[in-house]
Amino acid sequence: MSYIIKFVVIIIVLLALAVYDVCTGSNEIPLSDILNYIFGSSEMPEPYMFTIREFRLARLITAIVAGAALSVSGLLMQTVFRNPLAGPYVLGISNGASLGVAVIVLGSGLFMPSAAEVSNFTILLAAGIGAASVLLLILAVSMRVKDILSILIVGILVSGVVASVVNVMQFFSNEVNVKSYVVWTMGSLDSVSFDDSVALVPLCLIACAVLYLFSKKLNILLLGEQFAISMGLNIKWLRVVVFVGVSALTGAVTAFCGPLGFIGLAVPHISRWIFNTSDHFVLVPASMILGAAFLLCGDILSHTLYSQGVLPINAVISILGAPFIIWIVFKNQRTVI
Amino acid sequence: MMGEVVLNIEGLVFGHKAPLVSQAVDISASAGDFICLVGRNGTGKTTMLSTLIGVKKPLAGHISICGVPLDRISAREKSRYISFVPSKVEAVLNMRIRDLIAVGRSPYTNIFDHRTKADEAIIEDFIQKFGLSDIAASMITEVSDGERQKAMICRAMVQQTPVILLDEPTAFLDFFAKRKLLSDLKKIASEENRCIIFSCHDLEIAAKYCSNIWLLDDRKLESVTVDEFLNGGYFSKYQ
Amino acid sequence: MNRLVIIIIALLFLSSCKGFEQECGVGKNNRYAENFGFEKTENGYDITLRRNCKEVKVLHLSRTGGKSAIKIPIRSAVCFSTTHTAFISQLGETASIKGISGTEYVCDPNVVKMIEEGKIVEIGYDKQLDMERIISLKPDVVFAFGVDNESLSGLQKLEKIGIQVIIVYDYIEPKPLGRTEWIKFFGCFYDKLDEAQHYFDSVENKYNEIKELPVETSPKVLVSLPWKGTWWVPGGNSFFANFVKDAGGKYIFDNESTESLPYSIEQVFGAASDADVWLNTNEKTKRSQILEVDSRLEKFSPYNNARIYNNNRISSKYGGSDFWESGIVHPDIILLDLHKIFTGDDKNLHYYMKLD
Repeated sequence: MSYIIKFVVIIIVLLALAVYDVCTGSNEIPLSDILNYIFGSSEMPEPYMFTIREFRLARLITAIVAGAALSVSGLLMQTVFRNPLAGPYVLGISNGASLGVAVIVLGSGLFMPSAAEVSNFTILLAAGIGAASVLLLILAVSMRVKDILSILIVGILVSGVVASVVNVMQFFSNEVNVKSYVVWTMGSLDSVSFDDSVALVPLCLIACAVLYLFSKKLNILLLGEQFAISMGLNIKWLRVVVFVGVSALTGAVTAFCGPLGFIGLAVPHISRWIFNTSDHFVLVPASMILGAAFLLCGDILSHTLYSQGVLPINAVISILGAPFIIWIVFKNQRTVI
Repeated sequence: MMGEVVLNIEGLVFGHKAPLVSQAVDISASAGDFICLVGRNGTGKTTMLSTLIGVKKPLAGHISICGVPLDRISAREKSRYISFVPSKVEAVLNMRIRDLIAVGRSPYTNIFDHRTKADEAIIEDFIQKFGLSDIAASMITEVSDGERQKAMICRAMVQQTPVILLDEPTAFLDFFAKRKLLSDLKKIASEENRCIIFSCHDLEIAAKYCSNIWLLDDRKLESVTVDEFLNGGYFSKYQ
Repeated sequence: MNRLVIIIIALLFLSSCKGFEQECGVGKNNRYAENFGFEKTENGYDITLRRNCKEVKVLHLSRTGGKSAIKIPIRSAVCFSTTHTAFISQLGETASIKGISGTEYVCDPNVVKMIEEGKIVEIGYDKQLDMERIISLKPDVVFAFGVDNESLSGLQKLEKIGIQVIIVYDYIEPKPLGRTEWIKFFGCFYDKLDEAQHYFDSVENKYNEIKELPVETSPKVLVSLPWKGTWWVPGGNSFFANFVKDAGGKYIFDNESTESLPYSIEQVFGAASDADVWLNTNEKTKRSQILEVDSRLEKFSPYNNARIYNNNRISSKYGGSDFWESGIVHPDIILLDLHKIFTGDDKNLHYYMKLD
């Protein structure tokens, strides 16, 4: 029963942050106007409506979707790998996306005649292809390998190799391209247009819903793989489903927003702490709500802290999330058995 | 019904890639049996148990429970026939003892793990029987190893399978605790009419409590009654 | 609770960080340039280099050479910037250039020819600086620019073999004429100071004449492009902002910064969606490429009115723009381009092209 109360509280917090976020920006836009825009009479001048839609609402939706997607991904990775320090990026999916983006951004000038070929669309495409390639590799490995630890190691190795390749490309690139690439890695919620952010919503909802339906199996998986098999689970297929779901969520978010760290790692632990349970039926929706709230916090801070402009979102959420990570490490100490 | 054959193993050859037995195994077990799978380290006790629960595929042969061949049914169905208690329970944070025990009903619940009144009654019944009411609301990580093991066994009971397998349940227990556990299990086997099979090193104690012993030695698996075991010189062989 | 306090303090600290700008006077004997000053001596010149208003180094140039002095006129040089090659070419000393960092960005056809003929060599850039090659060229001076600390310490080792490495701070001059005035700096090294001063005086006159030309309606000017949601806009007191103001335009942002600041697209949209003119859009050559960066840029007026002009009309094959090469030496031509754009007469532009 207390679950319901807690859910109500965190939903209220989320809504409050959403309202605050949508009202944050360089110009004063009263909430009433925004509500008017969403719910009905749009009798406002076009540039004004454009601002509300393309800048405020786009950012709001992106933050909520990305926060939810990454948190659920992190939760599931922590379950499948039975490792509290796993996050959405352990499989190397976001590194794959980074490699795709690096090829486009850093490669312009190396492989391609000029930087004029770099467009938002090609970056999205490259990130998606990169992420999908890593996913296929991981799936191929996980169909053949039983031990989850081995899969984790493969994921880490892939991440390492990809990161090294990107490093070498940075080395041979010129300043401007390197800066562009580095800025991409800082993550951004502002660069997503309204249409793109809305497109992310069904993808995220469907993936999260599918993963939610596996909660019963995931709860059992927590108690051990051999045990889970004895309870009737098909571990191989469960992993496949989870990896595909997590890759879709993480890959999509990374393609649009760049890599966003900390959320996937920290939020599941915050959920576990608040709700005091390991039950995925509770944790999946809780992580979505708390993840969205967390990222909204980060977004608000990145727009309000620096008076002359904006701070990169990754930096802000790292500072926000680091204390939580430290706390997690301390909390987990007493229960190493 | 007591004494009814619940587990039938025909022509079984088990192992990883190479067989661990040179002869196919033909063995059966009945409801109420309390069987110890005995063998030296490395002979394949764990592999045998893994093959029974379905973690490993048999290299040859069939296993059936209550007449149902296990290779013809789904894994979920299989978990209504055989349950497994691993030697160690993963320390899952934030899970309550009651939740752990309730996992035993998952072969019967739907995708949302909805438990009916009947399910809850079974769970509550066994919590009482095992004397776990006091710690039912505690976290897994807060109780002792022994209590955790008890909870796992309780979960296996809740699963209501005719056959229950335990992997080295006495491995981490001291002398007294071993005896207590085995006498409790023996009682459960007869009172609840289950076939309980466990793997073990300690022969003395096994001989004291079990009805049958499955001997895994010299690449052969044979079933002997305790009398045969004590009188047949097997015991001395293992001194 | 304690954690919260620490976080709040850390965030407050961050928010108070700003670049600090100072007003320093112009260098000795200069009218606009702040980062160097010079003085005639008995046998040559003394040049004082400044950075952020602090004196960094004093160079002694002497015709008779001698210890701790650089012998002038120098016979050979290695350049890290095409702006510097442009200065040197203006003084007629192109032949002294032996090596360039980034030869594929050079626009000057004479220099390009020398590169093709092997008379000027590529020395690499950033992490791939080829020290050995620099040494083999035996230059008298290396005019350095834009190197990180690692490469810099590597370069300074060259001093032990008698190769002078000098970091040239022309690129941080906020005033257009301030940058051009560095031709006097190079003039000292080639012992052609009079020629340099003469040249600068004439450019200054032309520049100021164009500055006086009337502009009917001062257009609002938007600059550069966003990247991944952040729009780095040069400050109100930056090099290009000063150009805009001198040409009679109204620069979008009014701040005092000489650096670029990271605005969000929304901030720029709010301030400049109604801009009249859009300039300096990175390396883009067509209007459609603007939308590829961010589809929301469609709503900026200059996009719809097709008044986007980029300063890459003359470029090398790999995208080096002549704006930053000969443009710095001819700021009057740039100013005239801007004036023409602002008065609606956008034919016959030299460094600028209209994006269609």
